[in-house]
Amino acid sequence: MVRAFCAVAIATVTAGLTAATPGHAQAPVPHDPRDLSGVWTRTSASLTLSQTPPPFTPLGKKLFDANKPSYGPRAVPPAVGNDPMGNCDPLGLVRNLLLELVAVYPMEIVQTPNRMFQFFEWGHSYRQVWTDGRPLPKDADLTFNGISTGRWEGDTFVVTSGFFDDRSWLDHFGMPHSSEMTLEERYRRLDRDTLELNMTLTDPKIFTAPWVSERKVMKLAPRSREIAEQFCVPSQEAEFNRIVRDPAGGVVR
Amino acid sequence: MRGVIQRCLIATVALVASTSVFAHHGTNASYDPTKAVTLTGVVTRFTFRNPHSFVEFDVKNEQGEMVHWVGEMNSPTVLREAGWTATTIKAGDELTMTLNPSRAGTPRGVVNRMRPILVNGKQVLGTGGSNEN
Repeated sequence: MVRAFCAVAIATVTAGLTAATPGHAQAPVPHDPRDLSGVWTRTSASLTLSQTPPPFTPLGKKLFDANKPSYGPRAVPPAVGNDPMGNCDPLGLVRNLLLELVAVYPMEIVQTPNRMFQFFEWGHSYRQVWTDGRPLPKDADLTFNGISTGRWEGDTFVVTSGFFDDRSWLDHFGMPHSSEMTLEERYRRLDRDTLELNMTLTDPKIFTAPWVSERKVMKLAPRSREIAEQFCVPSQEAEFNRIVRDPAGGVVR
Repeated sequence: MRGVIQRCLIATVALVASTSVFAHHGTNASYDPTKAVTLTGVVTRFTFRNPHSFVEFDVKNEQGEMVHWVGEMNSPTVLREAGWTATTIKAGDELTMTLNPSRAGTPRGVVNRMRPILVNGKQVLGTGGSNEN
């Protein structure tokens, strides 16, 4: 009985949180499933692809051990960590999708005839997905948000990306990747207010098998929520580190 | 059974809490959430900008020496949602706030907005919010 009470209590809270999500509609509203436009906030609390990453390769384990995050079981004070974010280095596409796509810093999708744009509020970063039928190039310079092409499979928008700069982390837990990583994203607008995202990350240098994400769910933000300018300003970050973060971590530079 | 209900309540509260502690700057790895210190001093600067806002203030310790404390707060985006602005605290204000202090023992702390914040003797805004973001 107590277990049942406990389950009901947690289910009630979970349902309440879902219902309280901005933009959540009480009744279905007509929508175009091939129009992904809007400012989206994620509802999933998991800030990584999934809780069950595939095993590392020896190189993947070595790189993971070298990354010192400030979250999770390996957390160290940022002053003694090496999270690229602490210097305003670009987060990279996967971390943009995973970390900052939360209610505080949402993501906006804008579609044009030949491209889909995603604007990530934190870091004032964007990526473009080419939808003009071009294939991914055979070779290209590496970039933090990679090179992406998209196509429709029914009402699912499928994005394939590669050519990622390997200096970024996949998430704030310090998951590494290599420049050989490829990513497939599958977006579906389930109703006007709900966008689903499933991802498959393939990086044989780092993981022994593809890493399939949990189902990520995003909710349409209210119309009043517009993407703001949220640069990570290196000089501000450096001042913050000098006055706050480093002394708090017991570090004098 | 009481223990089970207690654990259930803790789990439920933790579930609620977990929705508000999304963070992107690892703040709580530096501070000790099990300790709290309430300080009163005079503000020298309030910096309301990314990545995190912070307030600097001078506090006289038990030996009568002036100690320069810095309280880390949330990003402006989060604080604005709670009604804060860049002028909620100003240089010269007398400030009382509760901090979870640095694990390193330095005069740094993360501001606990669940506890009252007094500016010139008056409570500013309501209490609430997490330390992160």
